[in-house]
Amino acid sequence: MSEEYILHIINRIKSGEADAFSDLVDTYKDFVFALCFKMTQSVEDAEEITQDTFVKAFKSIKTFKGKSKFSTWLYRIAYFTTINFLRKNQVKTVSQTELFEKGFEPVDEDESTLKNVSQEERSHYLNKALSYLKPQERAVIVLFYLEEHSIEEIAAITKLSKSNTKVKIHRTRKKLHDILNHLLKNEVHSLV
Amino acid sequence: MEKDKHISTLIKEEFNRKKLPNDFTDKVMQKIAAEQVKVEKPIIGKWMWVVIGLLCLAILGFAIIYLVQNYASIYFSWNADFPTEYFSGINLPFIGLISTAFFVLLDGILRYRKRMVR
Repeated sequence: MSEEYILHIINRIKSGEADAFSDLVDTYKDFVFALCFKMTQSVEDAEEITQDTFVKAFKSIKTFKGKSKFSTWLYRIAYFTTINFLRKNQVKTVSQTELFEKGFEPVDEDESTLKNVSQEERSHYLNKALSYLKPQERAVIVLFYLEEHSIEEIAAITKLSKSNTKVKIHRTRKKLHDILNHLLKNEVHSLV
Repeated sequence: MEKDKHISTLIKEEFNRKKLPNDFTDKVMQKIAAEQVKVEKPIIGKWMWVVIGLLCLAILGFAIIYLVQNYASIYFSWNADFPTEYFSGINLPFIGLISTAFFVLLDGILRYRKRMVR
């Protein structure tokens, strides 16, 4: 859906055609859900937050002036709704340090190991590795890899500066690689 | 910034695995419709508040004038020039009766509108 068509839908909603909003929900629901799901790691919570995000977006659609892309504006609402949800519910993530304390030893990056496991296993390892990241870090990873947002867009969504975003993405990618390698190495040890 | 191919593929694979239920959009639209009903129009609108305010001011003004008309001669006996004669035509009991009738009528209208909103 082109940005022009999206602006046309938004204008229809602003002029009172509330039903037109369903087109926007259909277009963006999967990406919003993916972001919320990766941040919360719970399907039920993510579904609830995705709903809340769209309701909030509908209520404040009159404040959308079209200065940024609609998706950036919507993901910002989703990002902060999820952050607030996690803060309210005090969801704790296991830190990377705790992971290493459990007996995992650092290894050199070996991408081929990840290639050799089945899709089911890859998904399992990815989710496990993501669970060791902070929700903000997970969001950055999803926005960067899945939606392929630019640094500027990620900065606009997370309200971080451009340089901070760049550093955060770099560190989070490194962290994710380390964790995946630790997890995979441990699995190889348990099989031997 | 160069993207990591494997991580990117993994995230995209995972994205295709987890999907929202088919009726998700309907649920959202129902929630929005429910929220819209919750945001009721105020029973008393802006202009109604202006009318009520003006009426209250008028009643207060008339009450003051009535008091001045009846008791000024006692309190202001030292000043024989106080213009009490200007207010002699005001009938406060009649104004009170009209005001009460207005507010009873207003109450009836508001109750009716509240029933219609529900």
